[in-house]
Amino acid sequence: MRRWIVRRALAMVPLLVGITLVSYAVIRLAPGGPVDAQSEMNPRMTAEARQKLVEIYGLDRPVYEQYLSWAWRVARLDLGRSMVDGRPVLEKIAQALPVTLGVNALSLVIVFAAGIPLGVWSAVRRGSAVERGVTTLTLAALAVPAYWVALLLISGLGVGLRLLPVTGLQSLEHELLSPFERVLDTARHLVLPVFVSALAGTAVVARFMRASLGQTLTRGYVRAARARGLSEHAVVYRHALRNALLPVITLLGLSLPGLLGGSVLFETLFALPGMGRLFYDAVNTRDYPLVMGVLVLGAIVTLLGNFLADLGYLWADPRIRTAHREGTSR
Amino acid sequence: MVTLQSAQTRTPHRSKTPLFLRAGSLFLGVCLPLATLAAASPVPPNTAARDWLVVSGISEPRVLLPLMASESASAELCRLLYNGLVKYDKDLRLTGDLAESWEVLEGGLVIIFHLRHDVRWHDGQPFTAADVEFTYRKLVDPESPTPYGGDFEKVSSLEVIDAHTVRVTYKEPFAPGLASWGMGIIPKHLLDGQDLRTTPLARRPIGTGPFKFRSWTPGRRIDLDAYDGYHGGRPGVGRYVYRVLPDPGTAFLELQTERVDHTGLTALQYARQTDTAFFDRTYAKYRYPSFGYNYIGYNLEDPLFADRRVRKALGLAIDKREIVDAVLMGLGRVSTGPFLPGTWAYDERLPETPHDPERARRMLAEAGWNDTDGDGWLDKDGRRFTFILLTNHGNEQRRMAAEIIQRRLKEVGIDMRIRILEWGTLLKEHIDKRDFQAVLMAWNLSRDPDIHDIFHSSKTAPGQFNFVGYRSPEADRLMEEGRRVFDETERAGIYRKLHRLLAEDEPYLFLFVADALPVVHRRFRGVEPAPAGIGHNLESWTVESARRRYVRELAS
Repeated sequence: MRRWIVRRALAMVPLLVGITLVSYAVIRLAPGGPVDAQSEMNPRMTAEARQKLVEIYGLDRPVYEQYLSWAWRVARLDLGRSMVDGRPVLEKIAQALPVTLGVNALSLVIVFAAGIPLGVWSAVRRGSAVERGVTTLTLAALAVPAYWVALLLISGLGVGLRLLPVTGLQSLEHELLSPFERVLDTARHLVLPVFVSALAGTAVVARFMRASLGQTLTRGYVRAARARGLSEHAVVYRHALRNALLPVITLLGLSLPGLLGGSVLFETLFALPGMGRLFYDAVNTRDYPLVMGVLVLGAIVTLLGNFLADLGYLWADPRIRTAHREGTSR
Repeated sequence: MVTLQSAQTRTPHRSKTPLFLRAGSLFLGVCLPLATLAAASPVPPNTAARDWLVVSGISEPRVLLPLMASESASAELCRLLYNGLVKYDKDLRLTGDLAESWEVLEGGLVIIFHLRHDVRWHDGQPFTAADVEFTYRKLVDPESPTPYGGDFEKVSSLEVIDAHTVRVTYKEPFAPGLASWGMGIIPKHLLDGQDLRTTPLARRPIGTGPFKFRSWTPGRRIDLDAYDGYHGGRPGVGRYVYRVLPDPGTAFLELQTERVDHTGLTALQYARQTDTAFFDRTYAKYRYPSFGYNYIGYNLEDPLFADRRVRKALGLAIDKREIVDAVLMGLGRVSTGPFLPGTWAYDERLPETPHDPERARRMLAEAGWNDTDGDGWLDKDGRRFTFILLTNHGNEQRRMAAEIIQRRLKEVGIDMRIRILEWGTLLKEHIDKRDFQAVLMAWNLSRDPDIHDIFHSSKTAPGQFNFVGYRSPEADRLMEEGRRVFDETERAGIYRKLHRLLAEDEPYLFLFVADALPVVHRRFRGVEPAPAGIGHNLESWTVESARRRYVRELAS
């Protein structure tokens, strides 16, 4: 089994190289380059000046050479500098990541903390007004575009009533506030973005939970438990819920890599400088080192996540363990 | 000279002026006597409390070094942080900035700048001629990643005569050259031996301007503090906060909650969404022509558009006023040529092309285009009059204008198709390769009317800006002369002639100039609309003590 783990780990390397190769090829196939994006067809920038920039950034060399020198730098853990503002790629990512991660993590907590009880509630009260209400609400939450909800909330709570700040994560005078006021300030700023980004997810989890628990409640062992005279509470929460939760936990696992991804629309609306906008701007300005940096980090996180998930299955499920032992001994 | 407007329509007004040559304040003219008075009066200069000015823009500045500030947000902040030797005043006339005076000698071959003696960098070091020389060296250094070297190619030498005198010699007289010294001067003592691409100064700038750098929160805001040692006088604004608000809708909501003091509105916001009592009470709206025009550029090598009669007929077939009314909600004006309306180069007497489809049809018939098969479309030698108009993705104004034009051309029997492309693809695959029939785009205008790079026949190589392929010996001559002559009245005569010639030849179908639509919070006093806009004296806006919003810091 150890050999399998080592092999599985080593297999990630060619995969990662493959991902970077394809990404590099795709971004380089897009017309234009960082120099054009910088000059924006500015006549003050002569053809010679543009050529000079192309040479400074090494963009005149063959693409495979550029890829190799980039890959060599990355192998030494250097993601290079942005071609747009000259800042280290790692620094730019390090600044955008906490924003995205923070909002996403908070919203993930809400998604599961609110979605599971809602789903359970409506599964237990099957056919009741409660179930119909939850179903309607979750459907609506899935159907309306998040940016529209965001705009409504901003305009109602932020502009109309002036209850909550409209954008960003801090007030303008944040630095002048006391430490306690600062925490409060940031919390107030987080309410709208976290709520909006949690909305659709909560609906998904609630529906998922309802379906899963509803199905479980029709199982034989549930009927058996009821037949044994267990209380309805014990039947649902001790016997059925645990089993029904398994697929929901899988869902949780699947949403973890998404913590790093940001939505461009959402971040633009709330003026949050997160990963979505960082990547979007990088593509628009053809900032190759930054585009590649974000992609490589994303690839590494995803590959590692899959690897850990495999290890987890290995640990949790004896059937998989056995299969691999047989596989390696053959 | 001019720059192409980038992909966004919803750019706030200030973003339409990418060059740092945005006219500065009129301090030199008016405030010098005042400064003398102030020195004699007993009022201590630093006691008056000041407020913050919170400004918003859709994009974050990339780099705060004027040599590399190629996009609007960087250029805007660089204007507040740095000074050039000269600047444009509120009436768009060149005036001294770091140079208190200059002499143009030998028919324009030599310019001698006399620098001010009282200027200090934000770190306290004195500003001298060595800084000017250093900036020039960096501009022409092949290792510098600056897009502005081209302006200085015609300089043959720069000599430092003494600590406050610089002599610039040109290879040939070059009138726009004087304005190019509006380039922000960078500090030699901090940048000598540094790589401009990686210097920390690009993120923590030290300049000579009315504001000094305070902090930069990436993706969110940049704070500048008033620089009380500013040679133009102590700024009236205590802190300048630039907020990055990428969505104009959000920016507008921030206006509604008074978290932004100064920004640009879209035409729709200006016309329909700001007529509330709250808005009237809180903000003053301004409106004046922005520095840029939209146009259709014809590929003159395409047989369809090589015929001048066809180009003129297209101009008659469309209704420019209708476009201004629909696309800009009337907040703009029809343009007749490549200069800024209201400036000395623009010939106001030139009539607008009328909307006259009858005459358009007659001219097309003269050029051989008739509807011989009665299908509603013009044809010639068995081929229908059809062409593709390209424009860029993400600009609603251009898409709407294209659709209106499409309908008007259909009325005279021309089948125009619209293709909307991503910005990079449009430039790289179509403009640079001359693979287009007609494009709908816009140029930003700088303050000097030199349009040599856009219309001169020597600028038609791939990647150069006369991509329509306009070749006119007469226009060439006028553009060359306009660059050689320094006297403004004489230059005005030349450029007005050029304006008429271009309107006659129509290598471009000049469409419209949109209005800049800025708003400023009403608590600010001293906002002065002028041909240069309202930003020219931004540093001297003031707020009465009782109306200050950001008082907390001032108490601490």
